[in-house]
Amino acid sequence: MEVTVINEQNQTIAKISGEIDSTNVTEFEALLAPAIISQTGSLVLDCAEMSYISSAVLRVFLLLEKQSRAANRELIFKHVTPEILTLFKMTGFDSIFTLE
Amino acid sequence: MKRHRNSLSAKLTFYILIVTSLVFVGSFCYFYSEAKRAETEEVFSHANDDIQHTSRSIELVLNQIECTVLNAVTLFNGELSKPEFHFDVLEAMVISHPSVWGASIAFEPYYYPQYGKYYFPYVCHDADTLAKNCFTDSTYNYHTMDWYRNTIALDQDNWCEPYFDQGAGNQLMTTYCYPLKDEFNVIFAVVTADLRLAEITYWVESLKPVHSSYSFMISKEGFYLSHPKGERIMVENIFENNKEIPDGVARDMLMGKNGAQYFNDNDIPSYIFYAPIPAAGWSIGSIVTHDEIFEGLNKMSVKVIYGALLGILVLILVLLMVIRKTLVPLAFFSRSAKFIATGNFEVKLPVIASNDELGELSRAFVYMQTSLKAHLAEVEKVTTVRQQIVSELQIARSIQLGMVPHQFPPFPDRDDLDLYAIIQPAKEVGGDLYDYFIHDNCLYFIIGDVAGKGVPAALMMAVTRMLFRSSSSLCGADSRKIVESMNHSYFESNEENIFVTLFVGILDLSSGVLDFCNAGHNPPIHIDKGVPIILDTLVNIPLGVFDDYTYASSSCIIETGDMLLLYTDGVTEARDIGRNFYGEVKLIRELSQLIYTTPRDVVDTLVDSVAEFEAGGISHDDKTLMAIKRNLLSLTCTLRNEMESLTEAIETIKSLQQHWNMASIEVMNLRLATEEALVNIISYAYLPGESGVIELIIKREDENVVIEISDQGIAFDPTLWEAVDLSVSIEERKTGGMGIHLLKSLMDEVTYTRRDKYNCLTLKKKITWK
Repeated sequence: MEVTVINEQNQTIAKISGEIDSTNVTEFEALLAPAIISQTGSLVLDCAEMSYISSAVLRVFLLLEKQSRAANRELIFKHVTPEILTLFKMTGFDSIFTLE
Repeated sequence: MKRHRNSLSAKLTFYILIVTSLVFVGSFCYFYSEAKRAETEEVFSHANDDIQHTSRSIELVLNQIECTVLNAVTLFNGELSKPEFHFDVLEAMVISHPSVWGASIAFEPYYYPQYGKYYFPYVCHDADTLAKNCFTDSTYNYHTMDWYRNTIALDQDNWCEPYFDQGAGNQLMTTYCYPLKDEFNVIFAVVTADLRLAEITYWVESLKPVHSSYSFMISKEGFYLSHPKGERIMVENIFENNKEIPDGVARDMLMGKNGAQYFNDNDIPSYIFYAPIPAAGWSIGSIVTHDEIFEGLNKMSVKVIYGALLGILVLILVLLMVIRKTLVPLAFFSRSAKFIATGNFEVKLPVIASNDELGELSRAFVYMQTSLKAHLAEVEKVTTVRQQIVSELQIARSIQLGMVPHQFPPFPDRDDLDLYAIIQPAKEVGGDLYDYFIHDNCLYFIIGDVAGKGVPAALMMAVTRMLFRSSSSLCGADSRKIVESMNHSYFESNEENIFVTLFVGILDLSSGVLDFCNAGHNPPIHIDKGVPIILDTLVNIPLGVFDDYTYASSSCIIETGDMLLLYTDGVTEARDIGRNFYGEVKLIRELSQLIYTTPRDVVDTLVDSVAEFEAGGISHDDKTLMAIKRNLLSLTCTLRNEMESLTEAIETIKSLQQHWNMASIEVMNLRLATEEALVNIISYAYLPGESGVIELIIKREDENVVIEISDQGIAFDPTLWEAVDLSVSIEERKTGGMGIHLLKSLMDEVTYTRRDKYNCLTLKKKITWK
């Protein structure tokens, strides 16, 4: 699992790749932190390379959405694969998250 | 007969004509030049003779007149004192010679004082009589006349320059003058004799060496005395028109020379022949045109050429007819050859009995026809025999391939075993074999390679397979005994001393124990938990070498999910264009990419790989491949209640993709469901610090994958867990409970039971198997 954070004008892009489950979700949160903490503008999660997530990750995403809304920061999920999108739909997240 | 532009007859005619024409042209040129030379000589001699004759004739007349005058002179000298006698002498002169027109004697002034200054008696022809005149006065002042003065001046006899005589009818005359001298050698009178030139020009006019030639005569002054163009006479000088007579010739003529010369007469190529008349200093010339000389020759040449052309024409026709007729059999032969080439050997050939080349050809054709017929009959016979053998071999091939079990999957009712095998004989039939059967839940199998190829090897292959079956039923589940029994039996039926390498194995399908005996065969490859390794076998000698050889067997365990690949040396000893072997190393490398696939995939992929390796080369040996796989029917995992254990469980589930050839999305869903269940147990089933064990069993049940998870933790039934309300707003959404929600959503069936101290959670999912 890898997270690459790129800071751009008015937005921060986090490229997520690999499999994230309960065993490495803590590590994932830590890697994602730089994209959240002390950053302004919208946050883009590029999920093109993200091949697996468990409910633990869904929980992280939900918290992040809540956090962003509170901070009035836009959170965008980009390039979500069909498999992951199925999970989003199962949990109703597809209506909560901004997907591109 | 089809006529070719380059037909032999045309060619022959052409060459013969060329040669004939060359011979004709050569002969004609030689003949023409010789004839021309002869003709020239002839004309020259003729013309010369003619002109000399004419010249002499004229000279003769002149000389006769001179003689007449001389005779008269003698008479005059004797009778000078008798002037009355003069007329008699003159009369005698005129009469004595028919060519003398007139004669006179002219005296110096006052020679006869009685007659005065002038005394000039003159006799001439006048019609049929003679006219006698005597000029004694100045009416005819002869002293001033040219002939008189010239004679005085010359002081000797001479022929005077011709002139037109008005008195004699304006005729052209010339006069011979002879001076009379006294004792002091002083001229006192001149005796004359007139000659009508017409008397002699007649000869000149009739001088015609050839038909169109003409002649002329000139005076010693160069004036024309005779000429076909009469207006030129005495008017034109030979030097005046040098277009006619070249100056050189004119000079020669005036100098009294004989000769002949080529020149252009008014641009007409001509020859002039000339000869002098010395008495008068005249000269006659005769002109002959060049064309006239050779007219006859040229006419004859034209006739000869026409004759030759006609002859050549006739020759062409005759040659074409003769050659065509001669070559007609050739056309027949070429037609016959075409028929024969299309396989029609019965075509009738022209019969030529002659002993020439065509006869030779005819006999050669007949020989060729009969030889071809015989040869083809032979070929047909051989081909039929060969086709028979080929078709018999094809039948033998299908019999041989049908002899080994070839229904796949071989045991449709057993899901714990999969097997696939293939034989590829190098020739129609081969010596490789494999066989297998199940007895008492044991898989008996054999792979073997009879030494040699083709029909002998195929026969021994059939024997070997039969021996395997019979020995197996006699010896039971002991590979060593089977091989030894086969070896004994082999000696009873092996007259040819053909040996066989083989590998016999007995796989206990419940325990996975493999008992095997290797009789000189390539050791199989064991894919042991995904790693291909060459099976460690005891080395024995092949069958058919020693009757009493004691074979040794070994054993190993083939776990579920493992595969055994057996092959014959035709696989590893396949060669590429560079004569390199395929080899075990490449075989193992290929296999390491294929560890979890089905036996059929393994065998097919290896067959393709070997074929690609061999591309361009020839398949030298039979190739046999057999893959046996113990199918993995269930996976079990014993986990500790720690997050770290989760990794092991995940890896186990992931391996299903290869083991059971499942789609990745299905594996992912199973993984997610299992993970959510395990995370729940690890997180909540045990008290903090309490260690526990979780059992995970994954198995196939018909179309379903069933996952059983059991733990000894606090009783908890996730199926009763309240469903997550998806409709509430984000702020109200709880972050927990999503795992169980996903678990239920992903699986077809989730059941929970509590048995004694155990929580038993069963997940069931229907899979679309490939």
